[in-house]
Amino acid sequence: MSKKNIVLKSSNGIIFEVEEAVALQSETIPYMIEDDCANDTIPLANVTGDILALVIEYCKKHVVVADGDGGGSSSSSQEDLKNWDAQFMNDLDQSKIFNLLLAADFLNIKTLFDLTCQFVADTMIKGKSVEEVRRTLNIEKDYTSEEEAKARQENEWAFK
Amino acid sequence: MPLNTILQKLIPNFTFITTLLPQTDIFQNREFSSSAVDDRRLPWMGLSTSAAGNSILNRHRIESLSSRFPFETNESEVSPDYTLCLSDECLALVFQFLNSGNRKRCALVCRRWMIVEGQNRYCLSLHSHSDLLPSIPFIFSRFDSVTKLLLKCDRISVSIGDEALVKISLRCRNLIRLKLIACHKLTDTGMSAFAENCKDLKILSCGSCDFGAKGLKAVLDHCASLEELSLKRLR
Repeated sequence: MSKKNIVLKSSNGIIFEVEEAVALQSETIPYMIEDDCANDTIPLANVTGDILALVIEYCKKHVVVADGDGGGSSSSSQEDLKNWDAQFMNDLDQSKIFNLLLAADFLNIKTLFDLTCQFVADTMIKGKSVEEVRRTLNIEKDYTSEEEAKARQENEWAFK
Repeated sequence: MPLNTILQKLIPNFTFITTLLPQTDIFQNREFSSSAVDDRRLPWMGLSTSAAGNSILNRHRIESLSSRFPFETNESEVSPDYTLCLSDECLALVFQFLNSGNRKRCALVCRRWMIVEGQNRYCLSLHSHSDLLPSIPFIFSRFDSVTKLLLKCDRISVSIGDEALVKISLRCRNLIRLKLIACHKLTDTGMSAFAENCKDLKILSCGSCDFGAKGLKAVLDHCASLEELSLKRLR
């Protein structure tokens, strides 16, 4: 068993060695390998070690299931994976969630990007009032009262 | 073409590029200057709007390279607004997971959200009472990417007329799908003008409208891409 390993280096210099299949869930990494960014180590200047560890944890989990998929026990493993994803996201604080979203975007890992976007939408926005969304995400209200009234009025026209 | 784009093309080594680019550490500014509360949004906003002419890919990569990472916070500070680190594209993709009601509320959260939500809204359903007319310019400059539009009135109200439909058609030249329900005041004239302006229309559905064969013929004549036509209770 001589599986090829890839070495990733986080912005703060932490080294991770992972199997090629794990790393290749990122669509950005293959370009870096092709471009011969680094002979042995791929530097990821935009991702810190703690976030990269999370990315790798996610990719490892998903590569295992993708392997098993060929076998055919797909529906139960899909279900397991969903639960795992939910638990994985639930354990993170807001800072980690957003940094993970950015890392997934930068590394171009489609499923992780969608997962983090969906999580932000579901847990921080969906079903909340405007004021609650601002509070949850610490967004400063930059509308004047007139602007807000106008926006509300426009909203009235749109239904559904 | 900005310097960083050129650099990025010339040198695919990401680490190298990041060190060359000026690091705009917005959050540091925000933490240390108490008077900068109102300005803190500007660098981000400037970044995303000034890059609007670039291709999405470039814009995406430049942003992520120059200033979004790493996103660190000082725990003793008040919790920051992490959404500021998202590019407009990312924010729009978050909105994509929300239904129309939630999206409407998002638009009221802050200016940037209003802009991003509006520009990335492709389906719009409007109450089409006659008094929609004066709001059309505002509504369609906010939602300037609409390709699917539903205009729905009800039996007891006076619906929008030709003038409104023409105004809408001028602002939604890329409309692919239009559904008209109970827009009694629309006539052949309005439908003809609409058809001339929205030539890419593929699907038209009308229910309980009062215009006639001439209006429909104009649609068939001008909208060469029309694939689906559904008519119910026309007079």
